[in-house]
Amino acid sequence: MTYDAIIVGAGHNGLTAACFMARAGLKTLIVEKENHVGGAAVSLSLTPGWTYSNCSYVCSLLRPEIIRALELPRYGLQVIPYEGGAVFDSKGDYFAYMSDHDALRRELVRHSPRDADGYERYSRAVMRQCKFIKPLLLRTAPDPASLKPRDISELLYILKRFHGLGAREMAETVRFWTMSIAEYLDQYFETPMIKAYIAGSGIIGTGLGPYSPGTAYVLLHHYMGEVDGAIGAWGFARGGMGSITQAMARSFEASGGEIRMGSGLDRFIIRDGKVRGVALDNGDELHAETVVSGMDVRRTFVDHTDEKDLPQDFVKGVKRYRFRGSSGKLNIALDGMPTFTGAPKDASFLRGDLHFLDDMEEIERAYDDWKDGRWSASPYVDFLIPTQIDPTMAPPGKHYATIFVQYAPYELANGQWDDANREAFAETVISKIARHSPDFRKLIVHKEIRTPKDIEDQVGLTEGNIFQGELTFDQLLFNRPVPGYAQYRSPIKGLYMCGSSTHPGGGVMGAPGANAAREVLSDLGHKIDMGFSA
Amino acid sequence: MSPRYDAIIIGAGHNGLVAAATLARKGRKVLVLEARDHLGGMLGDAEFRVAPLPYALRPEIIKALQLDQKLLHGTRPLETLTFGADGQPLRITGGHVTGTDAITEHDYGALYARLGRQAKVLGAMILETPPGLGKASLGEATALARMALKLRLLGKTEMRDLLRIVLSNVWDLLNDEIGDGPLAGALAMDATLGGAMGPRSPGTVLTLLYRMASQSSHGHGLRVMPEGGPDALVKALADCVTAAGGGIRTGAPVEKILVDGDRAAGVRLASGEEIAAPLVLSNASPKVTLLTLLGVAHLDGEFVRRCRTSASKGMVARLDFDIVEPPKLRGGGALTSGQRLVVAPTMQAIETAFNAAKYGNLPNRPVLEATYDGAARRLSVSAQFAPHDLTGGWTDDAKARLSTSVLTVLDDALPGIAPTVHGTRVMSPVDIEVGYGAYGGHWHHGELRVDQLLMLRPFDGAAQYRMPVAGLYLCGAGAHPGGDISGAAGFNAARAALRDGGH
Amino acid sequence: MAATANPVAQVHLGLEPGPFHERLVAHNRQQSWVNWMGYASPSVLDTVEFEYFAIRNQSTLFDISPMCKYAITGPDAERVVNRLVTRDIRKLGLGRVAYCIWCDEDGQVVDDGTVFRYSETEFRLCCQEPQLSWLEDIAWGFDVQIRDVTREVAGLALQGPTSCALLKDLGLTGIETLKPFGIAEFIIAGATVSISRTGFTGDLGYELWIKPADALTVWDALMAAGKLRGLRIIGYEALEMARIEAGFLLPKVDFLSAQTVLRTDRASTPYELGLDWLVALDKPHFNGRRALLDLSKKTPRRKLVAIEIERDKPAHNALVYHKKTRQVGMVTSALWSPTCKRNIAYAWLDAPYGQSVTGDLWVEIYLQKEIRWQRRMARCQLVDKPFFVHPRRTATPPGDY
Repeated sequence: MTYDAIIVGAGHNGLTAACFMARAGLKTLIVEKENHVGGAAVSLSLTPGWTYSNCSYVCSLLRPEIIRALELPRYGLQVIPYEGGAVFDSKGDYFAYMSDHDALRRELVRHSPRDADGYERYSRAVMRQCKFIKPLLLRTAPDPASLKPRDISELLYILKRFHGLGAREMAETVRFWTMSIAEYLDQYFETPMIKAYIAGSGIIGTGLGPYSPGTAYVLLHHYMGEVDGAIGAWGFARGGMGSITQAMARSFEASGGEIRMGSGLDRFIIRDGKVRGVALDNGDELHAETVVSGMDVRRTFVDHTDEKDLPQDFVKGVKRYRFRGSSGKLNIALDGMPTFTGAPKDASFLRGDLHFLDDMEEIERAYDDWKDGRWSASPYVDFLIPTQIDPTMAPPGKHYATIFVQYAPYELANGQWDDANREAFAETVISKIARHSPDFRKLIVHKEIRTPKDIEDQVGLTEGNIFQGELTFDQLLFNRPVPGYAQYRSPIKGLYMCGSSTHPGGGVMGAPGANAAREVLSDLGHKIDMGFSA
Repeated sequence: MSPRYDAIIIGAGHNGLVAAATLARKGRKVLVLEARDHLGGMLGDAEFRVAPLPYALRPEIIKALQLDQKLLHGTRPLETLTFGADGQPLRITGGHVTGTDAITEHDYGALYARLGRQAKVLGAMILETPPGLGKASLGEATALARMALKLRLLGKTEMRDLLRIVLSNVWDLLNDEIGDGPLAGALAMDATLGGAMGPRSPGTVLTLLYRMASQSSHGHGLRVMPEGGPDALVKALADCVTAAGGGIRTGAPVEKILVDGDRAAGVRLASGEEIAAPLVLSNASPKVTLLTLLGVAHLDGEFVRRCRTSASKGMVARLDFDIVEPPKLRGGGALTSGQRLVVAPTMQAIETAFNAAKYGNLPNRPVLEATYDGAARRLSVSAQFAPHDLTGGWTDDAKARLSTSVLTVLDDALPGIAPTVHGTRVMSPVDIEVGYGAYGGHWHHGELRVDQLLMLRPFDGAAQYRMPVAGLYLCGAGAHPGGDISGAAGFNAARAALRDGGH
Repeated sequence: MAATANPVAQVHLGLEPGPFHERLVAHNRQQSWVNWMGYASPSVLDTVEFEYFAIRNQSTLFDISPMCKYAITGPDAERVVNRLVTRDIRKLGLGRVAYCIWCDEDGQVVDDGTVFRYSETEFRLCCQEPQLSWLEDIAWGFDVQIRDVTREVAGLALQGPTSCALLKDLGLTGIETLKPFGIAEFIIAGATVSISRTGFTGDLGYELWIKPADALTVWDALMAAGKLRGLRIIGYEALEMARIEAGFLLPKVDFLSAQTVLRTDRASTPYELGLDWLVALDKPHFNGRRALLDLSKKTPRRKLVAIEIERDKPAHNALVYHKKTRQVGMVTSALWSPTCKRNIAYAWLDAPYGQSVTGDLWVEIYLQKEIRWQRRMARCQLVDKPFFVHPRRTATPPGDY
């Protein structure tokens, strides 16, 4: 079979790229090793009656431009913002985040009037940074070493925007992109719990602790999303994260695209430095002059490409590219709504993200465990019960809990990720939650444990890194994934990358997919109208 | 009031002396006021040195001040000695290493050379006033453009490489290039010593490059001992000041910077004596200069906030051990005056030591840099990480604990050292803070981090040496380009003052 | 983990009741509230016109408790307040109040408010936006205590021509000698009340500062005495009309605090706001002084001006044009003034308009007539503030009216 373009992997970025290419009139095929689409944005039923968002679990970053251009709401996507969140400390108190500004202010004042003022300054500073970074997401990063007019003009665009910030904001931007989240928050807040609550966004998915320089940027990466223009807001995709990729798949098929599931990639077919198609693990060969890989950069070029087809410095760069999985996940079916000793009944903030922490030091110590090859003895957990809002994911009266766990190493210093260790890991998390929610344990009907190793094996994310590679500066912008190859093109003509290993990186954002599609289409000489201007 | 001066320099550290000499040689009547009874600040005197192992004074400054060329050419680079896990000594001088396999030797040499080339690009800014944010003057913009050009001249590969690693950590870089071990430990020691970062902290490549950018006639990135030791360097600078007609007073602590009509007007000493001058350059740390000597009443609230919150937590303790004989090295021989012993067998060991300090505790096994002064029969050790804000405070007991753990760690390299020690002095970051006007006891008067470099050094709004009160300048390590013994901050500050009119 | 039997209650969601809420609820026939710093503040109680005319004709009560209030006390209090605001506070006498603004390091206005001086070492700052961390930054290094007393002090604005007479009826002897911007203590219904002759209406009037425990007692006493003096409770909308007539600026409406802007060029300088008279560049260093010194020598890039517009349709949200074509500014507050019978507004005009160019300015007004919108260009001209002035505002003793 011959196609205009083949996309490898039906994750959200592969689907996004495929949608845009199909809409441009290309005969487009997606090949997917699983029997379902979605990659890390899936909703699966592992126990009757319940649906889990098995990997990614909340939505904010998915660019509204993409949602609109691909008509995702028409194909079933609904994103509902959630109401707040809370961190519970070990002394029986909590800090609750609330989207109602006045209530949030009262809660901040309850802990510290200073922090209430600090929060105003802090949220404006973050908002300014989000405003600065947002237009960069749907643009291809310039290559600073290139003298091509396009790279130079793009570099100038960024410099001009940077310069346009004014002196104070320029300084603030440099600080934001390089500081540790701990020091950044110390400028605004004094209450340990408040800092710990916010600092979580600076370390989710990353192999850095809150005291590490560079984590303020990670926070920004989690804040630059929006729900209906509410910048930084997070929401649930109704029906779980799979509904995003389901909608994309429907949109793709409506544009004439084809999806082949159940066989994965064996290798790219490369002749004379050009890609000719793909060979699947069932022996099928499919032909196309354009192949786009949604897999991460190591899978694409180390596992499925012959090294001799690639330049040496590129191979070195790919091998050096850092994944360092640091996150685990539990998905739990609950027989009822758990109660929390620290929270009043019917507290609105329970319908948000819950954490159990005293201070940032606790997160940093959790990181120290990970550095030494252990899962955190007292992990950072991001715990949500979406079924309080989403009626589709569990039977009435029953609930589903998604528990994201930071930190868990890909390789254990002592032992393997065998069943005993997986259970022990889950037990560490569950017992931490049970200290704050005594009835939690007995409500558990079913649980799914996902260590970084599981995430790699089952989802195909190398080392279980949820962003397809660390979000540190050496792997951002023109450095992502490999300097000189940050514009979605690979050294092999016709072979492109569209996964989160490329700019602007991970999160269910769709931007890498959309950017890659733009580059592909431009190389094919198509007049590009993606329905939005970048 | 005493006789009128054109400029007063607070503090006779090497930067203060360089600034004074630069002004004096341009015909300004200068007076250097030093609180202690010796010159040289952290370079110290025969009694005690905070920084016993200087990097080289910038050659451009030696030339501009017409200092004795011996300081430039008579220096000798120190050999660094470190031990691998197998107990074999490695001897490192710049890019050359002996005691390891040929491949490692080669990889290390190549990495050292590459870092040197990349450091040189960043080094282009060392002797420039950092450009103003959003309002760079033509000269400042030219300096930036020159750096951009140098970046391009590295060639595509190395330019891309530099842009990739510049904000990264030495942990990743060295693991990629030479693997963890004693060589990586020694380089990571260079990258972290004096700061509050472990090898895994992003930003440590930049501090390594900062050190790699130091220049001497023997090459880049070397610790060099002037002929005659640190005292010779201090004396040469002091002589340069006095030869140009400048005055130096020791035992004259400044209590207040005087301000008249929003202009610096001179200083008041602790003795009450007031000395007038339209130009005041302070070699004290920015926080001490602004918050204590000048006083916040002359400054805007936001400026004060940025000053207060700038990072300057000292993490190095200095220990002096009196010993009778040169300490015996593991595997034979003795530590000599021309050597620098590094006890940091791996980057992991440094990171582990840093872990404890993050939470305000002393590490069980600190990592060390040690030298032996044969004349004074003294082993001088810089131990990290020893947090300024030690939980429980820097009590005698805490110092005793530190000294015990330092001797235990030293025993790996210098077996049997502990029983030979007959006198111990421990200088905590708090002692360094009190003694040397360095807030937080920080070697560089402020953390060398991207958010505190160039136009953000020491903090936004206070870069470019000029302070909001006209006529007041920062000339110490807190200002661009930062610490170590390069003299650049003092030199740049003096030139900025001269450009502004110089009075 | 110490499991607590009684978890900390969740904070109040929605609007919070203030110290006079019980009484306000009883009188708020419109059941219409606005959010003032999270408090339920009445918007209109029954009819906005009558509430407005009560300000200019009788007397009125308005709850100002949600104002942010800070106590600044200690040996360095005067130095700190003087470091904060642009006016020379050393000249402020004991028992006196001053309207002030304060600026950031770039000379952009952070907020405006009133400074009350109770003694050599005791001040209070009243303002619209929370300022605690700003004040603490300014006060860092000084021997002074800053305390947020917002919830410790209830406030009532008693404004209107009969307000002095009303207070005299309550036995407040000596109130008639209280000069504008003066403070004095009195007893009302057994409660100690601090009264300042200040207000936001440009009319004769007072502000009463009360312990929250005494709030309702004092309210009831005022309402009882007010029966003979035409006292009326008013809401935010009536006050807004009086405030525009009186020439006062409202943060978040007429200008944005430098602390709250997202786009840094949206802040304003005192010179742009026409508040030059509040800036004492000759006093010792205060926040933003160096930047203000520079700004004082430059032409403001835009200016907030008072304009009068032909015909009678208020110019809400209107754009301002030069020669009907070039857009040169926008209106922030607009009102058909029932007392002055003038169509008035404040507008931002970009330089040079409103400064060297003042003629041929037009306001674009959109009128809805029975669900059809019409566009009208109305000529406007620059005028002086305030629009409404009456000698009774400053007369001491005030007349009995």
